[in-house]
Amino acid sequence: MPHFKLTTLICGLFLTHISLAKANELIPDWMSYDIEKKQVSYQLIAAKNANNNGYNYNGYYQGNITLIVPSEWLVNISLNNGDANAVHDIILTEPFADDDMPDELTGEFAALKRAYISPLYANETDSLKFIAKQGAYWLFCGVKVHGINGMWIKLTVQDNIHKPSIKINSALIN
Amino acid sequence: MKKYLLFSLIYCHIAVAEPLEWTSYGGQLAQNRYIDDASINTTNVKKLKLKWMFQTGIVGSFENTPIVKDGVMYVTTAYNHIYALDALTGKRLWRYKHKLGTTIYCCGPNSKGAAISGNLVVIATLDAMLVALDKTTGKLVWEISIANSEEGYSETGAPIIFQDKVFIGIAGAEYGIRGFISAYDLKTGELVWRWYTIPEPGEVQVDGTKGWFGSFAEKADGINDLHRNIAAEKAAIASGEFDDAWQHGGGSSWMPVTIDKQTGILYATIGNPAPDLDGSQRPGDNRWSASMVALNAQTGTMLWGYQYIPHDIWDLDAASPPILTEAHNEQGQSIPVAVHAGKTGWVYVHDRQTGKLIRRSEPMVEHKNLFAIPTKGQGAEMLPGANGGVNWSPGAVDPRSHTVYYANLHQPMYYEVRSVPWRKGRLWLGGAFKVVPGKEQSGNVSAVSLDTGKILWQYKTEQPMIGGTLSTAGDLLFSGESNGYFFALNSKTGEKLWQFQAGAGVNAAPMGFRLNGQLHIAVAAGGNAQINAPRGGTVMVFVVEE
Repeated sequence: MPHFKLTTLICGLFLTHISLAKANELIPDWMSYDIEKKQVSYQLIAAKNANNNGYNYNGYYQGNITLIVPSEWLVNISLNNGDANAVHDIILTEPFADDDMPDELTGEFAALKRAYISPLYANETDSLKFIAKQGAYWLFCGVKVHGINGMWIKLTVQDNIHKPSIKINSALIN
Repeated sequence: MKKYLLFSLIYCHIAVAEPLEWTSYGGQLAQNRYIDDASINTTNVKKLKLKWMFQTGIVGSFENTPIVKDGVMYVTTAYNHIYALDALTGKRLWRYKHKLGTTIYCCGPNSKGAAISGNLVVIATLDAMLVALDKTTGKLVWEISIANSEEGYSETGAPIIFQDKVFIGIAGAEYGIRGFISAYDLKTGELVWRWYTIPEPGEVQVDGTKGWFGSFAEKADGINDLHRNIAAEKAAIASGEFDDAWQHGGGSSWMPVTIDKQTGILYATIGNPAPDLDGSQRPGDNRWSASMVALNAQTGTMLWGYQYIPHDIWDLDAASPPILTEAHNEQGQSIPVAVHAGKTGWVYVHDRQTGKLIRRSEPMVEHKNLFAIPTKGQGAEMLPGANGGVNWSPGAVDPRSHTVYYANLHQPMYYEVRSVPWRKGRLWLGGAFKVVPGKEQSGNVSAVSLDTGKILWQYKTEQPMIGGTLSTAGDLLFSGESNGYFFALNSKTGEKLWQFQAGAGVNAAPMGFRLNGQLHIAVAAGGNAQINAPRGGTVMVFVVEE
């Protein structure tokens, strides 16, 4: 009987670990991926809610979320502007130091070729795609003063991972 | 008899040939945007043709109304360039480019225009400076800093010159500034007086109240419930927690002021309090945000104030500049009035001397859940949206019929509130204005009787309208759309009589001038950031060649 109880305990712990592991894998409903095709898609909404005065993507801002993508995967991003009062865009940039953050940026400065969406009016949607190259990036709103006001999130491309994930920096969430 | 006929012909020729200038943002200091010339009229406007165009080469929001004096047109552009052009030919005479410092501003890099007096042309800049140039050469004469642009102060309006002073408000309520209106010495740029739109604590107001708390009005215009929790606001004040809120209380005055030359009284409209949506951080009426005020232009002393939206939590600025004209009072007598059209969608007619509201018009746009309290989560759906109604677009009046014309927006929005602290130089809305999926946007030009408040006609547009109107004695009403159409309507009926495709959003108020006996109609076509209208940078001038 003790042997059975021990086995049960070990199996229980093992199963719990898997459950916990799966629970720790955050896959929001605005993200989907296909491992075989090596593609990941994100549906972003600018000004999804009032976080950061509406200067957010899906409620995230100032780098408090990181989209983690395997190297050489195709990344598809669609952006809908949910802001009724301001245009927004999105540009894949290299990270900026505080002192170097531009107050305005246009798409030709994207870190990867054509990885940007031009300013969208209320309820407009557009998309971009690029092949992910290893490195650290931001998804940054280039509209005047939007990025400086925190309208950016992180995107990291890593070798040696086999699927995308996200990481939330809960310390920065208000 | 022959001598009489000859004299008449000569007199008529002189009268017709006399130049008609446009020397201030709104035409003249009263800002009525009315051209008393019927040479272009409902009969011949279909012959209106482009005479010349000038490509500024500057792409941004183009919201300028040119001014014309002594045959020279002065045009300001996005990012604070100014051009002097030969008004008859469009030939460039000179150009000045202001060297911008730190710029933090709302709603696009625009400039409404310049002011001119004597040998000086004056502009205000995105980095909150006032700049005076020699009108003949474009050389710098003086420049001064109005306020610290790093704190979110900016200028997008046109200065106004009256006698020996330059008058200018300030923008930046979205960044938690404390608004003001200033008067500067025209010759030197020295500050003469400054009136703060947000009073200090204890400062006695014209109605005897103190500071910015006001009288805790529960209704707009004594009619519409604002759904305030006055007890909670008073408790918040008593707690002392918001004693310093006035220092970042907002109250921009970001459109040109209006001046009564006869009385020397300055009239101004004042924008939203800060933060825009979160009233919990600023209990009280938040005087004099969302108001029209009258000041002594010589001293800056406040004479009266009328607050359209006490404790505004919807960003419903009073932005469109006041118009001075005449209209009937309650007894049917024609009296001097001050007129304003708000983001609320109403036209307000005030006794110019006392500020008393004589009447409020029918709403020019749809109202829904009016003054619903913004909520967390999805937010509260309300019409009008935060852009209006009438945004900054100046109106035009026909003084013959006491009719006023305004461009309106219809933009469904959710108002979501979120309390966040003020940070220097950072956006501070206290929430967000969100799209209502599936709901269309649109616009209109409305003709409203100042004597009755009735809407006489409306011209509907597919897209929201920001820009302005121009009224003429030829029974014409000019305006423009974001889709590039500059058009003329019959001002009595709203029937479209003419249009021209300008190739970029026509989001500026048109103007007119007469030189060599010929009436010219001009407009800037360059789009707008607020409603993302297609960008360009062109000034166009039209005439009728008989």
